[in-house]
Formats: sequence, structure tokens, C-alpha cells
Amino acid sequence: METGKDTLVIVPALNEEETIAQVVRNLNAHLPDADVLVVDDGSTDKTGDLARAEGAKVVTLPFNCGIGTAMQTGFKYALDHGYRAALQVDADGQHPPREAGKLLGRLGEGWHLVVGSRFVEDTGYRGSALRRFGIGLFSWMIYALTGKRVYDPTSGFRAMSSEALELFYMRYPHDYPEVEALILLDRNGLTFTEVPVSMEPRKGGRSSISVLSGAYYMIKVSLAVLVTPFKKKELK
Amino acid sequence: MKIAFHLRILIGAICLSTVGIIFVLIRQNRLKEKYGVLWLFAAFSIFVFGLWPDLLTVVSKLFRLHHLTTLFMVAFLFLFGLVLKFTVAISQLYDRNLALAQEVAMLKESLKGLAVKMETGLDQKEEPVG
Repeated sequence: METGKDTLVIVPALNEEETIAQVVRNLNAHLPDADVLVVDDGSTDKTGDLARAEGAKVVTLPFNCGIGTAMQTGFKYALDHGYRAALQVDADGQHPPREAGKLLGRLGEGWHLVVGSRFVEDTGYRGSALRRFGIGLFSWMIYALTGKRVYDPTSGFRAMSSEALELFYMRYPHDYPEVEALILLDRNGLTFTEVPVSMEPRKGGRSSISVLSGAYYMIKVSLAVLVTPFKKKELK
Repeated sequence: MKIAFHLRILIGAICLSTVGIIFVLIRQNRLKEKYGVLWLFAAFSIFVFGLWPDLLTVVSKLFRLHHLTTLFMVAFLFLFGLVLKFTVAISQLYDRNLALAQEVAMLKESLKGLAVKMETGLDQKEEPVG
């Protein structure tokens, strides 16, 4: 790594010009020991330029590749540039950087991936009934397949060790990757845990999951989750 | 079962033109050989069943199906296999396409970094050495 820093904050962003500058500024203020990489997933607005102006590194995908591929670009960048850990943060401002220390701290205890969760304690999060049902279903599936409890498996606020990065370098789901990634970790003998964090209401943009695509999301993720335990191991 | 002479001519013509089209497409690099083999196999099957329709009758008797049903079943299975093969090929292309996009994005970023380094480097060495 050119800057001598250990941790790379990866911010996948698609048309987030309203929030991206503020998010990068907050990250730089709260995490002086980390570099910030914005992966611009084919934005048509000024997301990339605004992030660069705030001092973030920016990798711009030539077309919209999906959140999973954008994240994997970040993982590849991290390992190629010698970082030892990565933090994933949404570009819409709902993941407060002041909570990042909790995630990175657990990484230091030897976990390979730490999920920042809205549900372990009552952190004031309320979603729609359908969304809560979906999250509960995925949580249960993960428990059934791995024997481990994660109450907020769809959270995109997470920290990863270099071992997890090496796995994701080789394979990371393309769309809706969060849940599948946990099973993938377990399949390859890596560990994950969860810490409670408080989150902000999103400042701009929309959830990547609309009501219409909700059904597809549930079916696709369920299928992927059920198949993953039978996939070839990536790590020897 | 007897097949009318003009029908045999038609079947032969279909097979020959399929083989011809496949040959031309491969020669012009518009079709990969591995898919060409598939279509040659299809043409060969039409040829065999066309000249000896009794083979189909054997299959029909085995499964107690009507002739026409057997014909559709064979054609359907072939097309089913073909589409499956295509979706597998598309999945592979999809993966590679995304991996290429990632590579391009990262290369561009490091190229930008290099360009900046070179500019600042040039600024520092205004006077040529030696």
C-alpha cells in the first residue's frame, strides 16, 4: 500500500451525488488510519468526481456491474495494494463511521468477517413487515445451514479480514451478495460474527431493493444460499 | 414405412444445406467449431431419421407414442439441450465480462496515479541531468 495504512474502506456507489461527499468526509474524519476507496458502479452523475474531490481513491467501472461485482472490485483493489483489512460502508450515509471501530475491533479478536447489525439490540430500527420477514427468513436459513446466529444478515455494514478478502477475491456473488457471502465464508472454514450498531436513516437515494423485485430477491438469495454449501471449496 | 422419393430429396437438401451453412459460418469465423459440431450432429440426425423412419417407429413402439409425438420429443430434447448449453456459455461469458470490467477499472485508476506521479516527478527535475 502506498500510504502505509492497513485498512481500506470500500464504498460501493451508484448515482449517490447527494450524499457521497459527506460520507467520504465523515469517513476521513473518523478513520484517519484508513484509506477510502469509492467503487463507482457506472454512475451517470458526478458521484466519482465528488468522491475524488474529497480525497477518496475512486475506481470507476465501465458500466453498471451490480453491487456484488462492485464490492469484489474493492476486495481485489485492497489485496493488490497490500491492505490487511477492509470495511464496507454504504454510500447513502446510513452507516455511521463512528461505529466502525466496533467492527474493526472484533476483527482484531480473530473473526474473519464482522456484520454491523441493527437487530442484536434494540437500536431503533424499524423496517416494513415484509422486509423484516425476509431478513428473519435469511437469518433462520443461515442458522439452519451453519449453526450460527446472525440477526441482520442483509446488513451492508461489515468488516473483513485479509483471509475473507482472499476468498472474496476469488468468488463473490454478483447481485444481493450479503447473505450468500456468509454461507460462502462458512463453507470455506472462515468465521463471522455480529455486533450491534446504530444506523442513520438513509440521507439520499433509495434501497436497491424495490417492492417489485422483492420476490425475485427472496427467491434468488434463497436458491443461492441453499446451493452454496454444495459448491466446490475455494480455499484449500 | 416407405418414404416418397421427392420427400427424400427434400430431406437430403435440408441436411446438405445445413452442412453447407455450418461450413461457411465456421470458415468465416462466425461460428465456433464446438457449436458447429452440435449442428452437424443435428443435420446427421435429420438425415438418419429421414432415410430410415423405421428407427423412429422403434422408439415410438418402445414408449408407446404416436409417430409425430416421438418426432416432437426428439426435436424438443435436442433444443432443450442446446438452450441449456447456451445458458451455461452465457453464464461463463457474464463472469468473464465482469472480471474484465473490474480489471479495466483498476488499470485505469493505477494509470491515473502513474500519470500524476510522472507529472510531479517532471516538475521536480526541471533541469535536465548531465
